[in-house]
Order: sequence, then structure tokens, then C-alpha cells
Amino acid sequence: MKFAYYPGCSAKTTCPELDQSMKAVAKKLDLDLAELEVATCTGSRQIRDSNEELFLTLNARTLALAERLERDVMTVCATCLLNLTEVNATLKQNAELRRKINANLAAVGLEFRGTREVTHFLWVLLRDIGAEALAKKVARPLRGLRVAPFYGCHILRPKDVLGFDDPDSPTSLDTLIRVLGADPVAYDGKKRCCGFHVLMTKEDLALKISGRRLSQARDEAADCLVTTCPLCHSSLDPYQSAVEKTLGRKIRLPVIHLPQLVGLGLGLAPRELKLEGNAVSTAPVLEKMALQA
Amino acid sequence: MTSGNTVSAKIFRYDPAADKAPRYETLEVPLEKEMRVLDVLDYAVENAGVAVGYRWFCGVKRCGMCGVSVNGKPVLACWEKATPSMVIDPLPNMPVVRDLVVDRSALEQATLEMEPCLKRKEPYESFPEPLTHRDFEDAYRLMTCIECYVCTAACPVLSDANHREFAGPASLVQLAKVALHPKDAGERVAAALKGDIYACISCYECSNVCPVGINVLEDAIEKLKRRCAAQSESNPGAKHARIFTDLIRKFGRIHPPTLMRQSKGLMQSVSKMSMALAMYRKGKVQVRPQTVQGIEEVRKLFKAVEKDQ
Amino acid sequence: MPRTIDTDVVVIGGGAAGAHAALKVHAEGLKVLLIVKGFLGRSGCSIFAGNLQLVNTKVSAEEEEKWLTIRTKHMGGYLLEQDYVKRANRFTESEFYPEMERRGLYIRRNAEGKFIKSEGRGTNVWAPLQGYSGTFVMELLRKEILNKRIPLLQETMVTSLLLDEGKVVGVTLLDILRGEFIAVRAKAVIVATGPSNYLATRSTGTREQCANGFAMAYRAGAQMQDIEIQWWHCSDIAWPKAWTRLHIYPNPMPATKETVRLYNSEGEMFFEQGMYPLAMQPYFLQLKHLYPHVKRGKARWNGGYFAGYTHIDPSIMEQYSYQTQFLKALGLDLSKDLIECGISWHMTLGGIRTNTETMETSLPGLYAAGGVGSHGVGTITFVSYDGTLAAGGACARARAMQPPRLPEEQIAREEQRVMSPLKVRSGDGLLPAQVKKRIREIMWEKMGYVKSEAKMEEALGQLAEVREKLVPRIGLDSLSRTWNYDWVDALDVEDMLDICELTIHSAKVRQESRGAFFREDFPYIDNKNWLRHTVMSRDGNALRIETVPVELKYIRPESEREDFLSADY
Repeated sequence: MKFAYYPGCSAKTTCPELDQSMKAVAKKLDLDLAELEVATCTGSRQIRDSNEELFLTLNARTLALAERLERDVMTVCATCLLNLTEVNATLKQNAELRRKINANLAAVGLEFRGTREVTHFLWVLLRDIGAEALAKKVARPLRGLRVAPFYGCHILRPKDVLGFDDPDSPTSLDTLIRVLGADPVAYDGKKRCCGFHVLMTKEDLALKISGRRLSQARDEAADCLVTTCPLCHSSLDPYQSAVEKTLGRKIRLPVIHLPQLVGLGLGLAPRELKLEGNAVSTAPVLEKMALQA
Repeated sequence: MTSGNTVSAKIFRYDPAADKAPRYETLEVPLEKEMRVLDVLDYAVENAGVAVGYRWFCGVKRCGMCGVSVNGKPVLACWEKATPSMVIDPLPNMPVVRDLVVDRSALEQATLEMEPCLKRKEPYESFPEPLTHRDFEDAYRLMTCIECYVCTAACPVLSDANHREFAGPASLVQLAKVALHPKDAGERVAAALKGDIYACISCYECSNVCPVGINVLEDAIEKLKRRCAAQSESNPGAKHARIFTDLIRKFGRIHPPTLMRQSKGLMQSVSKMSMALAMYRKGKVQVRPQTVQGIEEVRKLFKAVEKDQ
Repeated sequence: MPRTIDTDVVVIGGGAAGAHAALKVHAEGLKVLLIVKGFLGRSGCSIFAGNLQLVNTKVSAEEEEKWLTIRTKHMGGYLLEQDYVKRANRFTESEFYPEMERRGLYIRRNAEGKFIKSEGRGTNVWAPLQGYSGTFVMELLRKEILNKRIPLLQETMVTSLLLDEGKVVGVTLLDILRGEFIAVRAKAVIVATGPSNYLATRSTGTREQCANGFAMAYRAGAQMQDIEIQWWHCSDIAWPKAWTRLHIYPNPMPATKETVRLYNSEGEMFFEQGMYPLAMQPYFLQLKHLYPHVKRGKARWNGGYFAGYTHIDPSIMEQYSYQTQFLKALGLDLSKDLIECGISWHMTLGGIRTNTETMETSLPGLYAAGGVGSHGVGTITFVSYDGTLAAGGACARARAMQPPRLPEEQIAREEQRVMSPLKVRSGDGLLPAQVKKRIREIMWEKMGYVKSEAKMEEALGQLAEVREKLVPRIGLDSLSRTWNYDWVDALDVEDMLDICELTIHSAKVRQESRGAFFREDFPYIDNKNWLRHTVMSRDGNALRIETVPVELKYIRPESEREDFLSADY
């Protein structure tokens, strides 16, 4: 299976462990990933919130780069997934807008044709590889591990754009956790927001939101929480100590990237998955699995 | 026991004036073809004689007054299909008046303060105004908003963070509706900022629950944010968006330490020093920004876009 | 004495008539108090206005006559005041549309800026969707009223009109949220509670519409006119019950020459608007065509017949109709599936007898605006005219008057009546909503579209039984005064019983059929004897019934007597 791999900024800056574990897991799963190294940021929420044409143009470029490789785009970031998916859909549907954006792209010799799709690693696992095939590759079932799924907003909503899972009762990440042999923890927060997009401008607000999620998962006796998006991961992992201060409560919940959890199930060594790179120590998870860090 | 042919409805009951605490009343209702939640409530009163208080007028998504929460999701009772097992609560984020009836007055006041009436620069001339559907395209997407406040009920900024400075999505839709009218000349950016629009966390819960199918975040809030970003010099949210964009122009991708320093200011960034240090030790902080390959291309695109604008 | 509020003009009702009246009184610089049982612009029937008629009677005499005919003959069965119709048409074109557009109303246009209309006839427009126009109009009126901080009481039920020496001098009200009884002193009262009431099992009246406006006026001694002329919708969705008010429009559709078609249970098409090119509002004709199919068992009044858009390009429904989302939610594919329908009790064409030049009623100080009056044809632009007109008269009266004296004894009596339902129900007690349901069932079964002397007698008998056996069993679960809607329901029961009985008495008087009104035992239009209004009023505890001739100023029916079912009006 071949994809144009779009890691996003975070995997290249604040959480290199995501990028590295993704690459290690891809090898194990025979995913042929061609990294879009020249691609830019998809703009998070900020560019789309301030300059629509720029938002469309930058992402049309990324999509056009993938088209040139004749590959669909796979990302590990939910916000990037939504941005790229929406731009792809908008430009496919709206010929007038497509012409306008392509006029911009002409400056760099690119053209958006609308021939490719955008997907997320989670969807590749369940849709392209499939739960059954994946189950056969699980070398080290994560028995007894209680994993709190954290879907992230932009992999679920808006439903008519994304369409893979039901935002009101999502199941995909739960299914994946089961395929890996672990137990998904049920809690309302799994489909809710992490607060990331106001972390820089209204930190108190963001921490109250992420604090709700972390407390709920902690209350349900989760061993760890798994994220599909490095932005959620930022709110929940490196900022967890700040959350603890806001809540006045110790949380100490390891927060693991999706490829790291998958890698554990596939039998990769914790070091290959850079589990020592997460802010909150992942040692309790490894101990439970009787693994050496 | 719930069979396939009945609805088991667990209904919130509470009269703050008389009851010490809320309770639930459970009843079985025969399931009818395409039955709505409103039909279940009607049955409770008219057939079962259970005096549950609930508000409704029209039954067909016009009055916007029958909002309730079903199994944790804010919905309109007239629109939502009944399912075999339902817990029916009042809408969150507003005080309970009695049973399923809530007090919306504070939220309606927030909407009113946005002055959601058309303000023309030029006096109106005559009917019909020479305008086309294209002129109305953006406003049109919001025209069927019935102000049911279901989106505001679903907003985690209010429910999870109790951040009451935020006007909430429903009020912002009302503001956007008038701001996007081709003849409007009101001071809409000031109103949006007064409603603390940058407290919106872009979670799409509002879009997800909207009973009339409006993409609240993208077609209302985001459009207002774009105006704020263009027009507000000092608002931190607007500034942050501009700083973010400039970083992309410079490097092609985000450099979090620079973003934080520029957006939060040096002092506030210093307060994050211990976290930054911990992240640095984990290899999560690159002291110098990395520039994506082919940044020249990116800058050309910025130029092309700016030329259009 | 309860708390009192002083104002110049009270306006009762939060639809287009009430909203226009309140805006006008406010603009005249007088004090107004707008009282709405539900919520301004959210309850009542104005929000249901689906089509807007782009009349332009100024262009030619033919155009003026066309509109006069549509309203007077096809909607009013020749019972309307024809000068009123002309004036209301003028208001529609010269004031309603410009004022609403100034406020921000968007009438759906195409990319070139032309209005989307029905092809061919081209008189209906939509703002911005078919089926949604009234909701949009009311939103803009509501916002203007709120923005102007016009005094407004919502979730507040007016329980009676106050009288001093035969003049209306105020109202009493019940604040539903707080359970407080209040008296209001006013120099004039405009009642604008609408023509639709939830008086039959299937009805377009909204929850709060329980004939309160009719009842308070009748009890105060106002004359009622033509209250038996009950308009039924023929094509409202059959299920789910909550969606009874989802109307499948028989009028010309947007951007096409086609209209909806009706089919019986065997799939035979029996009606489309094109069968009567001149009747652009073919509501009464639909029913005449449905009737034989019900007779033959090929349809029921509450189902077993269908509306269909299968002959219309599905993208038209998708783009221009508000109803489409509901039909899709039921899983219907409009290119091949039909929509099961039922009939529903819609507007009363009659109501409180009004002078159509001033909207004054027979009681000094009381004005009736919109569908609650006896002159209306249930069009949002017309009721807007009424509100403006009534406000003009009310303001003139208020300016010429000193604050009136409040009738303390009447207020005390009324307070006692309003408080009387506050008692806990006993073991076999009934919630008032259960009694309301029974009243609606009686009206549906015995006072439906097809009426006869025998069925009406049965209806009266069954309503009397409700009074004797069910009403005494009414009680509440809680005596809490906070938003105790059962209490409101109990007050509604009295109003519903009074007005249902009045409607039946009035219908027994009219021994013919006409327009919306069908008596199986008099299946002909009797233009010789019955171009007359029925007028009813209270005489002590008795009912005074008289009839007065209709003035036919410009157009009149051609024949003295016509077979009802085959006539085109």
C-alpha cells in the first residue's frame, strides 16, 4: 500500500516520537510512505480563520504534490486531515474556485486536478488493511491494558465531510484497541474536544477542557490514553502538568500516539516507538506489559 | 423491560420551587412509525397522565423551542427520532425552570446585545433591491437558523469550562447572519469580540448538533473570525492568527517556541519555562526554526494570494 | 387587587398582526404592551406562512380583478369585504414587501437577480424557501421589536378583557413562568391571536392556540361572525404525529409549471392544481376531490391517500422547499415515493366581527387584527395590514382618552376563576391535557370536513358530556405556580369548550355549503339565501344568533344555486 505521507508540523517539532513511531510501524505493516517533505503546514485553524484563499492555496499545493506522486495522502494529524479533506472536496466541487486557486499554483508550476483522496492512519488500519488482517499481525496482544480512546474533533466532525465514523457514538478507535488485544475504556470525553486550538491564546480555558477529559479517563481507571492527533496529544501530554495544577489533582496518565500503541501490539520495542519521548512517563504502561523501556 | 415495540423513556423531573432534588420518571410508550421524541412526551401527558413539563409549539422545526437532551445529545424533540431507550434531560448550559423547560433569557440577551438587526449604510431605496443570489450566498446558509440554542447547549466552552464570557454559537450565528447580508454596515467585529469569539475552540460540536443542518463553525463563526483577523489590531486571537500565518510565510511550518514567544509575549512565555525545559530534554524543542524545503515556492504562493487580495 | 400595569395600548398575540400593531403603536409614540401566550414570532400561525404572493394590482385593472377573485371567491367563498381585499393587496405591494426587505428579508433570487417564481403564473415567491417564508418574516419582526425594547410579555396568557360601562379598558393575565395574576389598564386593546386553533386531533394550530382570543372576546360580549367557516388543509403529512403541521403545498411550486399531485390508495391521481388554473390557492377544491375517494374507501381523512412530486425534477425540491428535509428524514425518495397525507383543521375564516376599515369590533376599545377577525383570508401580508390598521385606530382612541377606571369587582372574579384550577387531582382525576385531547377527538370525529345536522347534534351531546363528567375530574399534579402548564391547560379547556360549541351552533344555522364549509345534508351553494354572515353574540347566558347580508361591491357569483362539489369555489 502506497501513500504520500503528510506528517504535519507537530510530528516534526513538538512530538518527533509520532513521526518516528509512524515510520517504524509503516515498515512493519509494509506501508510504502513517500514523505511530502516540501509540503507546508495546513494552517491549523489559524490560516483558515484569517485568510481563506491562502488556506485553499497552500493545501491545494500539498494535494497537487501528492497528485504528482499519484498517491493518496495519509496523515497522522486529525486537524490536517480535516483541512486537507475539506480543501480537496471544495476544489473538486467548485470549478470556479478551482480555476482561481490553480491560477495561484501556476506560479510554482503545479496544478490541482482533484484526482486523489486524503486519509488518516487510523482509517488506513481499519479500511485499507482491515481489522482481520491487522489482528493476524498482532504479535504481542496488549492483554489487560485499559486504553482510553481519544478520537479528536477533526477526525469525527463535521460528519458530512469526513464520514468515516459516527461522531455521536464513534467506534473505530475502540475497534482498533480491541484488535490490539487491549480493552477500550468507555467515557464520554472520548469524542470531545481537547481544547488545543485556544491553548496559545486562552490557556486557562484550554486546560479546563483538557482537564475534563483527563479526569474522566483517570476516573475510569485507564492505564493510558491514545490519541489520533498530535494537537490533542500536546494538550493532554506535555500540558498535563499544567492541567494538574488547574485541577489541583494528580493525573499522571500516559498519553500515547496511535502508531506507538499499534507498534506495541505489533511487537516493536519501546525504543523503536520512542516511548521515552512522551512527556508523561509511559513506564507504567510498559510495566503492565512486562516490557523493558 | 424494553421490547422492540415500546420506547422506554427516562424523563428528568424537577421543580426547583418545590422539589429538593431532581428525579427521573421512567415510562413505557408504544413505539409508533417514525415516532419523534416530542410524540413520546405528548404521550406521557395526554395518555399516561404524567404531568411532565416540556415546551413546544410547532412540531416542525420553526419555533425552535422544544430543545431537550436525549442520551446526552442536545436535540429538538420534534426532529429527533425516538429510540427504544432514551434518557431525556433538559438542555444543558441554561437554568432549569421546571422538568424539561429551561430559561433561555440570558442567552437571548447575549444575542440581543449583538444587535442582530440589519444596519444599512445607505438608506433603503425600493423593492426589489438589485441583488442576486450570489450576493446572498453566505448569508443564505444561515437563514434557516431558528435560534433553538441547541448548538449553544452543546458547546463545551460553556459546559466544560463554564466560560460565560463566550456568547455561544447560537448568538454568533445571529450575528453572522446579519453581518453577511450584502447591505449590512454594522460594527460586527466589535460585537464578535465582545462576545469573546476567540474562546471558540473549533470543536464542531455546534455544527454536529444543529437540527437544521447549518455548519455553525464554518459558515458562521469562522467567517466572523476572518473579519476579526483582518480588522482587529489588538485582540490576542486575531493577532495569533496573523503571527501564525507570518511564520508559515517565513518557514513553511510552525516553530512552536517562536509562535509562543510572539503570541504570548516574552513574559508569559517565561512562565512556561519549566515545561519548555522538560520538553527540551525529551527532544521536543528545536531551538532554531527549521525551514521546509522549497520555501521559495511557498513565498511565491503567498505573493500570488496577496496580489488577488 | 393584584399588581397592575398601565399602558396605552395592549396588543395580544405574537404573530405578524400583533407584531405590526406593536411596531406601529410604538412608532406613534404611545405606550404599548405586547403580550404573547407563547413566544413572539415563534408560536402561532404566522411562522407557517409558506408562500408569499407577489401581488401587483397597480399594473392593470385585470390584475386587480384577478387578485380580488382569488381572494374573494376561491378563498373566501364570496364572504369577504371586497374593498378590504383591494386595500390589503395595495398594502402588500407598497408597504409589506419594501418594509420587510428593508429589514433584511431575502426573497430567493437566481444568479442574475431575478426572483424564483412558479413558471407560467409567476406570482408566488419564497423567503428564502417554500414553506419557510413566515418563519423568516417573523424573525425579522421579532428582532426589530426586541431591538427597540418594546415592552413585551412572553409565556403570558391573557385570561379576560376588562370592561367598564361596556368599554374595553384592559386585560387580566397570567404570567406562566411565575404564576402571577396581573391586571393591565389600557385605553385600547388589539386582539391578534390568529385564526388557527388546535381544536381537532389533526390540526395546524400550535400547542398554545386554544381559541383563547375568540373566547375572551365572546365572553366580553363581542359579536362573532362566520365562525363556522372552517378551512381544512387537505395535504398535511399523515405521520409522525409531531409533524402534523408539515404542509404539502397545493399551490404553484418554485421554478416549475408543475404542482403537487394527490393519489388515492390505489395510486390513481385525483388532483393537481392545474385542473383549476384560476384557483391558485386550491385548498377547498382538493377536499372536494378527496371526498368521493373517502366515500369509496380509497382514502381516509387521516391517511390512505398520498401526495407526490414524482413528476417534478428532484433538484427543485432539494433547492427550494423547506419540507424536503423532513421527507428525506423519513427515508422517502421523492423521485419515486409518495407521501401519505391527512386533512387537518386549519384556519377559521370567520372570527370576531370587525369593521374592516378600522378593525374595530362591536365592543368599544377592542380591535381585532389578523385572522382572529372575521374578515381574513389568512395571508401573512394581509394580517400585517390589519395590525397596522388596528394600531392606527387604537392610537387615535388612546390619544383622545384619559386613563380608564379598572373594574375591581370583575378583576376579583376573574382572579378567582383563574386560580380555581389550582387543586390536586384525586384518584380518578384527569390532567387537563387529557380532557383537551378528548375535545379534539370529538371535533375530529363529529365536526370534521363533512358536516351534517345529526353529527353536529352528537358533537354537542359529547361536548356536554365532557362538561358534566370530565371537567369535574380535572386536577393538577402539582400546585407549584412556576411554569405549571397543566394550569394553563385547565384554563384552555374552558375556552375550547365554549368556542367548539359556538362553532357548532353557528354551523347548524348555515344551511348550505360554501368554500371551506361542507354540509352533506345541504350539498349546494345557496347564493340566493346565504350570501349572508352569521353573527353570534352572548346575551346574558344565552346565545343570540342573527344573519346579515354580505355586501358584494365588485364581483358576485353568477348563479343563485350551484352544486357544491362541482363548483370551483
